[in-house]
Amino acid sequence: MKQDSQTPSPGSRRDFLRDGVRGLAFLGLGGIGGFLSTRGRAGDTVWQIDPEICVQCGKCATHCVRQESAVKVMHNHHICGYCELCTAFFEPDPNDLNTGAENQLCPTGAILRRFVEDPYYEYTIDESLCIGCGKCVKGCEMFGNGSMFLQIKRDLCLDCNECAIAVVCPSRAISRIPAEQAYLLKTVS
Amino acid sequence: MSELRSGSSSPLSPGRPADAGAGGERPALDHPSLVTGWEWWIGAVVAAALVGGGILLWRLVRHPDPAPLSSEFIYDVSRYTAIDPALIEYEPAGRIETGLEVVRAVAAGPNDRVLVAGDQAVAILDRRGGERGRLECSAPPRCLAVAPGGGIHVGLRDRIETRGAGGELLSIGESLGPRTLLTSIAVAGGDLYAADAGERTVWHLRVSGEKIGRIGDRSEETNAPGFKIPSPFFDLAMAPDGLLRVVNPGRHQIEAYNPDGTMELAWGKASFRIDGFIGCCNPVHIAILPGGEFVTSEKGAPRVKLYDSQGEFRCVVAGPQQLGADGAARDLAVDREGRILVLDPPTRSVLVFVRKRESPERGEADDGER
Repeated sequence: MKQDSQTPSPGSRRDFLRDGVRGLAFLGLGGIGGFLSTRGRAGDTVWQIDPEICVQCGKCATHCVRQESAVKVMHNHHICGYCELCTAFFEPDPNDLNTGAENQLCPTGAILRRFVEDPYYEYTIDESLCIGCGKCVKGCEMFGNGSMFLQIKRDLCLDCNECAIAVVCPSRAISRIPAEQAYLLKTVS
Repeated sequence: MSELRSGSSSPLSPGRPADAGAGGERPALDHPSLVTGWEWWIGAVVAAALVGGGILLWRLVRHPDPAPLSSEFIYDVSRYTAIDPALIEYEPAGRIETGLEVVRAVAAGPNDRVLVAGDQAVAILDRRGGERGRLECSAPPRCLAVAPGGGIHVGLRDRIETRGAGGELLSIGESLGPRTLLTSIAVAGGDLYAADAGERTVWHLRVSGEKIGRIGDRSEETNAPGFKIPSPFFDLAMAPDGLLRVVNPGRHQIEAYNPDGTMELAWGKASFRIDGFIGCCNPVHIAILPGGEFVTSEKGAPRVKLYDSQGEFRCVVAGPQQLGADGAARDLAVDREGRILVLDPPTRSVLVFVRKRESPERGEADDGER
């Protein structure tokens, strides 16, 4: 009995307190993790698409957490050929080279065509109509100079800690870059 | 767990000696610890897994995988780029490895030599790909032409290097201008014709490099519509009829010019169909067979096709199945036997195509494709 009384009782109040503190510590860690996963920020970095890697899979239009995707088409006019038959603007084999809806490639009519001088035309993006599907980018990359590209608009992006598009991006083209480096623009390929 | 099975200690009192309660003494069960160290950790892991699974389930319910885009948002030109096999009247007859890292232009030389411009040199190869010489250039070569006598004219960015038949350097021409980007050279009648994509013109030059004039600038007097060069692909070749053929890619046509700059005729049309030139600006390269037939090369959907001397579509030399699905621009050359040499930048090699021995009749398939 003497020996028993000297052995720490396994069910003592100290054990109870120790187990309780452990449990609270784990709860606290979980809470911190949860908070970081939903509210955290990764410093002065922003999500951007690398235009050289992007394959225009269409997921930017569907997987952004915003109702209207933060991904839009951008156009580097320095690379553009100002083509009369722009394959980003016109359907393959259009009926005519005019702005008739039946001739336009963009389903939402987000590309504007303006005559500059014969034989050059300027193409600009109506951002309010663009859904970021990348259909025009494919047409431009396949046959033209590749001057159009998809990019995450910083004024629209919510800067989620985990970008929902980056998670599903098949080419891993989306990553965080220092804010002072954005935007990533298309360069001459 | 072994402790539990052996019964050497009480499950409710870990670490307590098994014989502690021997002799009929009752084990101390007051304030028992409910879990062992092992069980505590197992429980923690299970709890974490349950919490993680719950979070995942909650997220899936809250953010279900969105539906993919409908077909109207998908860019698909496969029905245009597919080529009827009956239209292909040429077959591969070999591949010549160049040994260059970057290849830009190809030309056929005398004695069955194949010259390839790339890196900062011109590789002189035999039919089997054996290197018979290498001419180091003062800058990366972008185009080249071989004179009937064997002289070699190499186009750098803004000037032309001239070499003798043995490869010796004879002269380096003056710069043609700060915006000049030479993309093709032809030799005829002792003169040079150089396509300048930067200036959107064709320079008529003496072999010494001295300028004689410009060809193709928009003018009602010469009937020239002006060159539309959206990208740095601007090719030309001298035809057996003595007219200089110049590709006007933005207008999807091949134009014929007199040496004085007068445009005589043009043919070609924009179309995704097989008899037209696809995309915004094609063809990117041409070559002319000894009989005056035209070989054309298109980028985007790689197609090498044959047209007769009047510009009527005749057949396909090679399509994406033979060349690859990439959209690279492939330079062309033809040798004295009528073999078609296609420079293939992705593989840094020259693909050789010859006519099939028994060309199938195109018949209705041809008509249907048109």
